[in-house]
Amino acid sequence: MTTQPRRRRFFGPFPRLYLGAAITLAVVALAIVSRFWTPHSPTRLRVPLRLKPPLEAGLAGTDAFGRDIFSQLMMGAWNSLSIAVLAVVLGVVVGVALGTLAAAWRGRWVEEVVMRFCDVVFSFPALISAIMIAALVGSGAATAIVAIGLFNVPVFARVANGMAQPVWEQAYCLAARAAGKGRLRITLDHVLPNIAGGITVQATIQTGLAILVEAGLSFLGLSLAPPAPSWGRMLSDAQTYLGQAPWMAIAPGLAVAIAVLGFNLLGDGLRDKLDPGSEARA
Amino acid sequence: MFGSSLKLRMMMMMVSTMACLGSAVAKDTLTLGLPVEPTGLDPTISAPVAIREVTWGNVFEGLVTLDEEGEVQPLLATAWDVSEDGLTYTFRLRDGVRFHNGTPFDSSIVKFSLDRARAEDSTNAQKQFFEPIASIDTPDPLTAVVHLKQPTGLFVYHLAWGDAVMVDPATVDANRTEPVGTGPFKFKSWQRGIRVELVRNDDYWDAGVPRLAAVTFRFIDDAQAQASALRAGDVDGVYRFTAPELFDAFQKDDRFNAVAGLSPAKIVAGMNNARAPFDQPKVRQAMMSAIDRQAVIDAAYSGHGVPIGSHYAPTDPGYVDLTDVWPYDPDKARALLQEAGHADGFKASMKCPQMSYVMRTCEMVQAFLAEVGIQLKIETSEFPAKWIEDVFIGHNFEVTAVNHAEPMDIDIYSRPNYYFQYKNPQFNALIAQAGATVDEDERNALYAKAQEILAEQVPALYIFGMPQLSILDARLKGMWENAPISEAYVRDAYWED
Amino acid sequence: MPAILLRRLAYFVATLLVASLVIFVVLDLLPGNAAAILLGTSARPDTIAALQQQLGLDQPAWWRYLSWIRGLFTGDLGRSLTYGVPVSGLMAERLVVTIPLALLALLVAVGAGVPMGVWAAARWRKLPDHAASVVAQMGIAIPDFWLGILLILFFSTGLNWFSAGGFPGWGQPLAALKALVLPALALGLPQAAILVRVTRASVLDVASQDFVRTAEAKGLPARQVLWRHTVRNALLPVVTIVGLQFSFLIAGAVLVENVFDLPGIGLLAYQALSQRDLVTIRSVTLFFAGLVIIVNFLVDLSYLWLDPRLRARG
Repeated sequence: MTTQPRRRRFFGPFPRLYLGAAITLAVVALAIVSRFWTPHSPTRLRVPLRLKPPLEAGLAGTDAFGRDIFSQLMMGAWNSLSIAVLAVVLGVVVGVALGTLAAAWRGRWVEEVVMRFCDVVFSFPALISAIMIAALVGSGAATAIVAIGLFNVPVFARVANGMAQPVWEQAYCLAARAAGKGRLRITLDHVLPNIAGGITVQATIQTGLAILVEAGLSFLGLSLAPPAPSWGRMLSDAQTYLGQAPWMAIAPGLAVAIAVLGFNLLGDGLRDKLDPGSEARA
Repeated sequence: MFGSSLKLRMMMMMVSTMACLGSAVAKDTLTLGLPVEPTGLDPTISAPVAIREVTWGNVFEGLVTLDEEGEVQPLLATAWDVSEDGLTYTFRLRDGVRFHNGTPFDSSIVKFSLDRARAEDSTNAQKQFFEPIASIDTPDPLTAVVHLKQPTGLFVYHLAWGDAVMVDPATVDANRTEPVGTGPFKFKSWQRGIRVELVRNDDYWDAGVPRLAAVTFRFIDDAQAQASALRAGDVDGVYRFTAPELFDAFQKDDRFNAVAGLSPAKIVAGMNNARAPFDQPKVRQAMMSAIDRQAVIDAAYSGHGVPIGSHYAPTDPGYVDLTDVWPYDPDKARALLQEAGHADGFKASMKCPQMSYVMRTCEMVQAFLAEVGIQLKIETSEFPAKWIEDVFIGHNFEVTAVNHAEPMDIDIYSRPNYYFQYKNPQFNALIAQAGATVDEDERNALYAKAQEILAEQVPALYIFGMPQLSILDARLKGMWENAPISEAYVRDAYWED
Repeated sequence: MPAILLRRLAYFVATLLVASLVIFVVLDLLPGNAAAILLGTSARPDTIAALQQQLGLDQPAWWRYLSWIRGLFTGDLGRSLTYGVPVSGLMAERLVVTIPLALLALLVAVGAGVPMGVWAAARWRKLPDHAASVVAQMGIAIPDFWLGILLILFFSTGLNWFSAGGFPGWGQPLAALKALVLPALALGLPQAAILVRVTRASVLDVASQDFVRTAEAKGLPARQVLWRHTVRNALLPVVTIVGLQFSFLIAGAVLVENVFDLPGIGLLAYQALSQRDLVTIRSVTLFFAGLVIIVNFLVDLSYLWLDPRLRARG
């Protein structure tokens, strides 16, 4: 084993970035296209065509109602992605605000409160809490966004706080402080731009995670209602048809895995590009 | 222990049968899979179907029972007379009956059980059955006289239900976890989450019954797991199999007797009759005509199920088939909508419980109604909690769908605050009259009229009666195919050699 | 030292208390009531009210909260509204399924993930490393409940080697273990993927540190360097992650328990929630939260103990 930090790579300087970007773009493209066109209607019931295998009826076969699975996957992509992205945006907006504020007023009670709040939220299992929220407000897209967003808030608060603190210790920030510039101004002018890269990396990875959690939620029936297609619910419906129509179970799971993989690779690749220091570990 | 020795025994039996060697010992134990675990084992204090499946007729018994056709039969009461005015019922009680703990059964037990059910603080799920009782006399240990406040036609029928079983005052509070009854099987153990074990009551009052020495109810929530347990021989059968799509494979398998019988469960899409446009009969009739019931059965329940035309199950006494009152006719539906002033259709929301068969029904209903211009937006309503709160108690809905699993519950349409919000004084009078009619034929005629009213007015969309799917080992005999009431009745079950 | 310890302990208790308050308030806000659910759609309002009173649901909120907290200290978690049996007993019955499942899953995760991570680090930037990275990335992206469904598809529906679910009880130990095999794989493999990355990163991190270079300079063979110095030191962060994974798995197993129909504690939480069995669900949720908080607390303590530099900063 060698301890030299650099070696020639097989696939160009940033293989993960390119691969991740390619996959993510493909999924996003399919999702956007689904708003305008799908090979068949994902919601029209065609009972005579029920349970047909892939290629016999549609690219991915049909389900128990005769609906085209590939079209459902496309619409499901839009639904899953939009929920995941909105949840992460919620987490970023609230979390970064909290985290940078805690860093700005370091040592005061603000920091303590934010950190303890993070601890408490972190201690709740995401799924159980999402189930409770769904029971409270009813299931649906909004519920999924709030439940998943809630768990992203402490993540971004911690990350933002951790990245913001070193920035505050930089000379120019100390100088600005000494010159009487307000903490909020400093945060907006200096801290946020500096941590933007790291936050973007984290947001990409969290989006992948959010897609996974949303799949779990809709598997339990706590996300979008039918007939809106959602990957997790497609998996739940497929369970009793395993013997007759295994493609019903394979296709949506594969979709989730590919989408998550894309975002994870993209996130890792962005980290490679924006923060090469941690490359030795990544 | 049970699973592997059962498997071993089955293998031994098959081998010996094939080799035609002498007589193998007839099997006398049964492991039956049920889809839902009960939350307790006392049917007199809560409603869930699962409780009755384990205990009705097996552990607990009432004064009377039902047979497979839904007819009332004597059980702990051998005979009864009704006075001319219908207010006094004299029950002759069976002699020599004891509870599993030795307590003798007599008229004081009858008085205690019925008084407990009708007490003010009673939490009996069907308290209204006992409400007509004014008082109970016990002239001698084998006679119980019940005085009613008003004539009640279905009084004896309701005494056959699990809510009316006889209990021992000494053990009644522990019945929830350690039931003590007079039935053919005694409670042995309950491993929560897994199984309940019953053993034969050797002192049972009916000699020669039961033939089985022990019964184990295994709770398997997931249909795939049920199917897999059946194939592996971990269970001898599954009663109330919940995945119709897996059912067909078993029908072709000779090792199993897969039967789709009748049950009292009805899939009904209720509408809020107090809200426009559902207050217009033509609109409701249009919606009923827009739905092809058989297509819904095919999609939601793989073709197993019976179309229904009113709020009455085929297993209920006096059932009339009214499915041709509003048959599938989309053109008629559009015409009716036009007459009602909704030629362009309308939008509404549908609160749908999450169970797969209800959800699939909702999706089919949504699709059919879309064809005639009615746009339904489906909202999942978490069942039971949210649905009961929103729809059942709060009446905060437009359209919904749910499984009404109780037999003979047509009277809910006459209850003032029931979620359908259907108000028809003529119907209410009919139900009241039927309720007071003691003569069975007269009563059934009155209920027939009531069914006709509902079939014509369709305060709710009557879609289909759910089947009772059971998959049993082909050599197991004596289990009911039709279920007139929630049950997993094993009293008469036995293994054929 | 003790001052820092006390502070940490205080945080730990405070966090638990706040968590319990949050749980109680959220559950109290939930619509729906257990009595109505228990009595079904035919029951009349007065019957439901009678049951509510019996279950103690008509008491004021603060009284119920305080009696719950008091009960926690004595081990009396109340009686389940749905089943009527003590909650502690119910939880114990379910934990004997979930804890072995979580441990088995961890066994899979550690057994598959750690060696692969070490191997990947040892062949850093060469093909095996890339291959391991690819496998790990895919493993992390796969939902555990989908993996469970696939395993059922191949090994149960297809090959008939395993049953599709259900748990026979520990009375038949071999059958019980067999019933946990597929679920443990479904839960453990995605965690293994995480451990591959964590182990690899940790090993590389340690490998680039001075004492390792010193060992190499001393002329020790590469393999000895790897095992004796690097890996052992790299294991601490890995052990931390494994500890956190354990607490995550206990609650996170609910989806796999659902797919395989295992009577575990995750499924108890889900069922109790749908029955609005507040007494059970609040104790179960507090248990989950408490587990995470305790594990974090212990990890904090162990780091304090191991790294003297941290003690000074507190």
